[in-house]
Amino acid sequence: MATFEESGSEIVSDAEPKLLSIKNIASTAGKILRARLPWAPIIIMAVVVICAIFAPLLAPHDPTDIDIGVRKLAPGENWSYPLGTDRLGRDMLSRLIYGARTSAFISLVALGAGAVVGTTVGLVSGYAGKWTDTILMRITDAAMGFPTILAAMIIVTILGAGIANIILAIAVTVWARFARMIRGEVLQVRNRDFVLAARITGVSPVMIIWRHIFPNVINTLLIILTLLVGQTILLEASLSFLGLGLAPGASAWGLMVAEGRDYLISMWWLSLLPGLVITMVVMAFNFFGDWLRDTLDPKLRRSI
Amino acid sequence: MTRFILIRLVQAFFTLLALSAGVFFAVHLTGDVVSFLTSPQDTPQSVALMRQSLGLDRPIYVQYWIFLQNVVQGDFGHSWTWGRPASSLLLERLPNTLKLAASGFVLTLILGIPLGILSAVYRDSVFDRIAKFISVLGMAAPQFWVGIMLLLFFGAYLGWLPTFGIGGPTHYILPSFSLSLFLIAGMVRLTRSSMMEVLDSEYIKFARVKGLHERAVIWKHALRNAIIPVLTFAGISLGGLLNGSIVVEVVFAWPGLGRLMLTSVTQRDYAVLEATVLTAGAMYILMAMLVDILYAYIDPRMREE
Repeated sequence: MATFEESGSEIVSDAEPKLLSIKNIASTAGKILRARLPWAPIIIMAVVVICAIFAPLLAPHDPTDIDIGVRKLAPGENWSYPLGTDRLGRDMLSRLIYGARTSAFISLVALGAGAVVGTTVGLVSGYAGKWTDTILMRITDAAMGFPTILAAMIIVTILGAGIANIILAIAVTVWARFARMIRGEVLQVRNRDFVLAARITGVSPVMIIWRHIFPNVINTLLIILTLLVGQTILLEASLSFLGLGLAPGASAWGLMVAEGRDYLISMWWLSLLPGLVITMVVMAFNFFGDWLRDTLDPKLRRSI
Repeated sequence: MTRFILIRLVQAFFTLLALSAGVFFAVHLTGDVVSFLTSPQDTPQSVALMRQSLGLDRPIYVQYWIFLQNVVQGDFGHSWTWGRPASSLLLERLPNTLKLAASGFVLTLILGIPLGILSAVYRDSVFDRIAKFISVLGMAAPQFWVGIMLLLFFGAYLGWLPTFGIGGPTHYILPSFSLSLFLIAGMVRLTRSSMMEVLDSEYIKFARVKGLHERAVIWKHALRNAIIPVLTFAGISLGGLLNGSIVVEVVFAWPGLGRLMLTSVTQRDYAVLEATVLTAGAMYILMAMLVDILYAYIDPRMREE
């Protein structure tokens, strides 16, 4: 079955075929641990995750608590409100901590959904080839280039506001990125000997994709996932800035920037702080994603 | 090549048709248009009369067909929040968005490409540091926040530049910079890595060994090969410009298509919504098609598909 060219590429590629096993997961984990870890991004990411999980315990005040007595405090003016308060006396720090929860929840669920759909499309498209591939990739291309905010606006218009619809809007726009990359990876393994051997022995296509191809694209999947977290957070922030989806008064970073816009000169911290938080968090995820790619799979550098 | 262009044209046509159907049915099947025009005091007879006069009593596919016929003639219906035809609103706002996008695109090219080249050629120099800073910041900072901070600093604090609306050339500086910072970042990053890869290649080493002047090596041999992925990115980034213009127009109160679209969403102004979404979608589809054709022209391998 294998032509000269295919067996040629077999020699060049040094990677062992992988099966989904504890040993392989451990080897990936080992690779990550042996490298020099980028501590700054990891700490920022950990802080976000901890804030998201333990928001009620960490926040010094209730983020929705309106207290006219302490309104318009600048950062540092009153140490029980270290980052200041807004025009209604809500504590900025508490709102930022709860904002981590909103951002993390929406981004993770949307990315997860996008990853599942995109990976499935990529696996099927790459393995099936022929017209299935052509059709799926045309759809993927169309989805990939379509302006994301425009798509999200259409979805929110049709289905109405709400967290679930924001998640849907983001998922609809990110899945294509996964599909494209995973398909590319599948094309590199589908004609290798262990896949051909499985096919000859009569393993069903679903089992071949799941047992023999999927384990070989997990690293790529992991890398795309991390690299897209930042962009997803940005998209979520833009949507909440535009007021699509979340109710006013909710604690979301994008929304907080939007609310601060009207008091830019009198209360500069209202817009500055949440934006700074978004920038730092996205930066951390971008750095970490770059690092993970360079550690696990340097050849992806050019394609992502 | 002619066949390729024809196929792309047909594809673009059907994509547009699918988009128009999607938008039309989405709008008309999810909300009753009449309920926004009538009040609870209206009698059922007058509501029915209004439904009839708007043609909403006919089957939905007939309505879609009529809608298509009207759109082809440039008639998107009447905006009930503005009290004028949606098409006239569109014609008034569209040029503003195009001007903003064009200035953002020019800024991306004239800042992104040279900075990327300089940082690849003079590694670890001042240029390289500026380039790295811009690319890291631009990839992470949300566009709307960059806009607001520029507005706060250059507009409100220093008072150098106008902060809202459209006007003379100075009105373009802040909006087009906030619109393009993200793209400049991507452009710098891509030009830099593409240029570095080419500079490390064998034929560049050969050109140097051959004794060619360094300037000729960089501008003639390296740049020509490094520029291909950069062009690709420039093509893709047009969609990003459309995307960003919605946010930036909101921040700077720019009277463009994006802001019109957003207000039509929040006010459920269906005529304007259909007009703006279809126009933005059509612009995107046409640009994607032109980019595809351009590639096929540059790189014959692309024509095969």
